[in-house]
Amino acid sequence: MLPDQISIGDNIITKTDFSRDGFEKLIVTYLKCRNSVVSKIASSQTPASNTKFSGFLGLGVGYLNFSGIDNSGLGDKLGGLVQSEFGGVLTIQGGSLLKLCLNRTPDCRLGAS
Amino acid sequence: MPKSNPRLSFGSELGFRFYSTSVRVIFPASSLNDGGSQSYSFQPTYIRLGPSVRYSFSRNKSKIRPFINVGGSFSYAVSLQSTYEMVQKFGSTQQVLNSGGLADNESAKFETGLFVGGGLKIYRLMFEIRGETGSSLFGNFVNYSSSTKSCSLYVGYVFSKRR
Repeated sequence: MLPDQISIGDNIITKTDFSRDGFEKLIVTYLKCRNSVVSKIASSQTPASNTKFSGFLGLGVGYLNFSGIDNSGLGDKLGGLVQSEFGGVLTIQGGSLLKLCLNRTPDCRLGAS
Repeated sequence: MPKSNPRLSFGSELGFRFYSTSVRVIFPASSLNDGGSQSYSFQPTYIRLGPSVRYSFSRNKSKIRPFINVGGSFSYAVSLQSTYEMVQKFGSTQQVLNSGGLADNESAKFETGLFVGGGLKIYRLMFEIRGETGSSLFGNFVNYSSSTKSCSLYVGYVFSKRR
């Protein structure tokens, strides 16, 4: 389950933000933040080897849990789940570098335009 | 500029995720009917964004690098293929009371989750075992809350050149 709050940049997002509007705001902020960090690195004297792009394939199993599926007291119900995924990941190395970029990147603020 | 820590990295994942799952609930007989069942089947497709932080236990130039990975998952449904059917028994006859899908379920369009994983990077290949817990995969479908838990094996390939 989600924690009560998640911190991104200078912002704290609570569970109540996970409405449709909150979700969209979160995604937009995340993309702006990511693009800003990437452009910061691209414009810095950081070696290019600090950024890497990888492709991935994933396959998993798990379960889906319905809570209170009926009103007759049958309780939680589980269903088997198969999960597959493909995509890519952009990796930026260096924790201090990331911190520097986030601190100096206004786009990392929630809802920044 | 502060010195960069080569063991720590920030990842930004973008991917398509496919689920396939089903649940069937049998109801006991009651004063209203002779029992019945509810069947749910879901095959949704999500586009997923996943910020993550990775810590490697060996130096950057090592050919084999064990790592751990912690991150979040924010997904939006691009397809909500699903079926739902409710059947009640009255003596020897069965009656389908309700059937349909999740197409109109607004809350099922979003999924959020947290994951933790560990693995090895060997040259350009990456292998990772990841556990993930997600909330609201199917939203509060017909007023029931839901969550998912999964364990996945990921295989990756690093396209960037080694320096």
